[in-house]
Amino acid sequence: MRTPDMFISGIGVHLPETVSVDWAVADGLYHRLDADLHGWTGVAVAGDLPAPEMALHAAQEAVKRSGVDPTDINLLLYADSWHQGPDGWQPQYYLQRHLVGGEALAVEIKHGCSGMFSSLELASSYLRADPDRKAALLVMADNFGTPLMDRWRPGPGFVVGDAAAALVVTKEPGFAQLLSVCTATVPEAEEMHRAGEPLFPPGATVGRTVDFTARSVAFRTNALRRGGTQALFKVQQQTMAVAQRCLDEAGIGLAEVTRVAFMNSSREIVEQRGTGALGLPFELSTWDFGRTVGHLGASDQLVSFDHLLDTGQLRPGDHVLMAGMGPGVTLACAVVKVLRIP
Amino acid sequence: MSDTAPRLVDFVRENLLPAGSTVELDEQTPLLETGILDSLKTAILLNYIRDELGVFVSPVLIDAKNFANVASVAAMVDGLLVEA
Repeated sequence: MRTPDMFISGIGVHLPETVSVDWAVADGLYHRLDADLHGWTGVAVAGDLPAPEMALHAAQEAVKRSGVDPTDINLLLYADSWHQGPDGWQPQYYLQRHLVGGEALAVEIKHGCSGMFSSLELASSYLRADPDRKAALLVMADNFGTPLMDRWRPGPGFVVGDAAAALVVTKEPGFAQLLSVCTATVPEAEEMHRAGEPLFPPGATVGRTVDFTARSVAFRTNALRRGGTQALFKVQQQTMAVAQRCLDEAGIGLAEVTRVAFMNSSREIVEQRGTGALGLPFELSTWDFGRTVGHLGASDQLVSFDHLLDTGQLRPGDHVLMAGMGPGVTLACAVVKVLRIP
Repeated sequence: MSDTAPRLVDFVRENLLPAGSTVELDEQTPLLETGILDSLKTAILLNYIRDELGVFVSPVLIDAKNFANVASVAAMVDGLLVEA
C-alpha cells in the first residue's frame, strides 16, 4: 500500500527498566546455553504496571510531541498480543477516558506482533476516506509478566519484554513520512501458533501456559505427516516478497535503506531471515538494541525507531525499513522516511 | 560441467540437515517432503546461494518446483548464472 500522503507527527514510548539475562540464568529462569546461542542480554520488565497504563504514557508522549489536539484525533487503534485487563472490557476505552475523549472511533486490534503494521494500513485508509479526518492515534502495549506466560521460555529462540509505543499519524506533514506499508499472510501456516492444542476451550480459560515451542514442534510433526514443510518454506518466500513489494511501493532500492528495524529476535533469525535474506548488511539492523530489551510484542519496531531517533542514529532523508511477523502467519513491512529529527 | 549441484549437496548436508538426521542426501532427495527446508533453513540456503554461488534468487522464483530437490535448485542457479 503506497502511503506517501501519511505522516508521523508524534512518537511515544514507555520502556520499563530491564532485567539482565545473567540474572535470569543465575536464578535458574533461563539457560546459559540459550543465552549464548541466541544473544539476548536483557528483558524490559514492567512489574505490576498494567499494559493500558503503559499505553497511556506512550500515547500522551506521542500526542504531546505531535502538537495535535487530542480531541482532533479521529481514530484510536490499540494493538496488543496478551491480556490487557478484565475480560469483557477493552483497553482502548481507558485511553478514550484519559486522553482522546469519546468522538474518535476506538478499536482494539488483536493482530499479534504484526499489529503495528495492520494499524498503519487501517489508519491510512480511514484518514483518506473523509477529507475532514485529520489524525489517528496508534498504540501498542503488552505486559507479559502474568501467570500463563514464561517470559524466558515462551517459544523457540526468543524472550519477551514489556513495553508500549504510540504514533500519531496525520495527513499534515510531520517529522517522518510513511512511504509504504504491506502485509501478507501464509494461511497454510495458520496452525503454527496453535498446533497440538484444542481450539475450545481456549487455553487461558483452563489455565494452560503458552508454549510456542511445543506448538511449533506439533506443527512440524503434523506437516511432515501431511506431506512436508511447504508452508514454512512459503513463510520465508513471503517474508522476502513483502519486503520487496514494500520497497518497490516506497520507490526506493536496497541501497537507500539506512536502517532496518526487525522484530526483536535471536541474532541468527535477524541475520539469516532478516538482513541476510534481503541482501542488506547485518550492521544496519537494530539487533544490538533489541537484544537488550527482548521481543516487545507489537512494539518492537517503534521502540527501535524511537531509540534510533533518540540516540542520533538517523538524519533527515534517511529511510527506515520496518519488518515483522505474527501468527497467521503474517508478514509485514513498512518504509518510513525521516524528514526531520523530532 | 557445472559443479553447482555437488556444492549444494555438500552445503545442505553440512548445514541444513537436522542433528541426528538419518537422511542419505543426494541431488534427488526431496527438500520439502523430508522437512529439510523450513523458514530459517530456506533463508540460510538462499544466503549461501547469493554469497557463495553469486546469484540472487528473486522471491518469484522461490517455489516448490525450483526447490523440490538439490538438482532443481542447481538447475535454477545455473540458469540464473547464464542470464547474469
